[in-house]
Amino acid sequence: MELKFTLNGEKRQIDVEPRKLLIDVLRDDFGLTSVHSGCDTAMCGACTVLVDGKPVKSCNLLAMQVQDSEVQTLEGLSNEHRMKILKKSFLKNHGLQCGFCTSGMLISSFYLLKKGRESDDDEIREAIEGNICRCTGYVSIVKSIREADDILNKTSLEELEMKGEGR
Amino acid sequence: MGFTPASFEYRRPSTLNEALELISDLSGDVRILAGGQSLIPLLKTRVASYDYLIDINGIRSLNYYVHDSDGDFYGPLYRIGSIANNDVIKENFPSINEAARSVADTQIRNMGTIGGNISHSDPGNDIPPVILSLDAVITLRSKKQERRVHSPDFFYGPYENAIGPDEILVGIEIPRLKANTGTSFVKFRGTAREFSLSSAASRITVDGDLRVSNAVVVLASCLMKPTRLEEIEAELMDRNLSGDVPVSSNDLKVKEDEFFYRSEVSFDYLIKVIIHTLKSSIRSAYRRAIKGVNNGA
Repeated sequence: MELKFTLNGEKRQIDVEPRKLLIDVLRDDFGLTSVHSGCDTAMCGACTVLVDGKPVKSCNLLAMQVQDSEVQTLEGLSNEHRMKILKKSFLKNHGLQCGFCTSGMLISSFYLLKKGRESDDDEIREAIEGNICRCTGYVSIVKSIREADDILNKTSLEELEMKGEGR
Repeated sequence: MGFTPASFEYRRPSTLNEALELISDLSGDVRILAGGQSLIPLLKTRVASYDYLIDINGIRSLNYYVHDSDGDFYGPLYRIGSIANNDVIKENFPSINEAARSVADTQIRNMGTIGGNISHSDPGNDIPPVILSLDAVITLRSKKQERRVHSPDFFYGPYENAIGPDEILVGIEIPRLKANTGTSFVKFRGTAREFSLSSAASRITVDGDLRVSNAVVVLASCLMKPTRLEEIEAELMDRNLSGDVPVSSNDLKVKEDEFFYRSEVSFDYLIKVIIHTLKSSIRSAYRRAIKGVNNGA
């Protein structure tokens, strides 16, 4: 069946079997391996992608459900200013150990930071409630998102550019 | 590749009429796909399989929310995440906001729909007890007719409800609340990611002396279907609930075969949890109700 959608900014058209899940189309047909298959039961959030700007679990969607929608994976978000800040902060604050959950964590926190105002720790924890990490105990992940949030909301663009973190 | 659903024929109508034609004309097992957040796990594990899936996500006219003087009107495709983030709903119907926010997690809420949550009718679904406590009306449509079902007549039991084989849930209507009414939804989970053991939805109205003039209390999750607890409602009438909420296990007139066991907890523990969720929900609805009186005074 014909599936038309926008993937990381490019219009795509592909013939898929209707029972195929979105995660399998993204990984197998488009080679987007940032989308991780963790639990395969819609629990762990390692397969999180953005559909029309909002995080969803790609293992719990038929690919056909994104007909005419816009899908973004970590690959398509790498050049976004917010994502660069988040990645640096995760590295600096030990927001990852094995890294398996990280792409999902980054997408969920990217969505949180998009709202353009400061988040408190409760909001940060709520934003990643659908993402399971078995290494860090979450504290360092929350710290990473906290710092990225502070950088984005408290630092002026000029200061960021001086530090080489601007757009 | 992990789990994959068994094969089915997929249809994606772009209008409601087209969908109604399909559901009436296709023979075999037919299922409507909305957000799919409960359905797809069943398909993946092959607990369920269908000859046809009718994906209604292309019918944009089914995704709406309207708040006006007569009440609140939801299209079945309105997402749980949209409810959770809607300030008008939070202000007017805190219990709907609390139920929506307690559904699974952010990602699931972004896909899951109010219509799906109601029509799936899992005892652990969060929206059903709330719409029962708010006297909602559910509109079902087939190719031939449209009918309005009151929420007490809608839920039959686990995964069973009033939706006929050729019908689609097309709207949910919540009547406007009376003045000085508070609502609340509370659920209790053993651990963060499991189904709740017990959930309670309340709607309390108070008079000028802060005494309860109307009480609706619904228990769910631990029962086969969301159920109003009339003995407890009667117990609350004419009382000021600023102190302790007078609910004890003696008032819980639930028959043994009405319980739905999800978890391996003892019955005594379950009863304690039930009383705790009922009390929390009633207390919170009452506090919201008296806020109206105190602000008006």
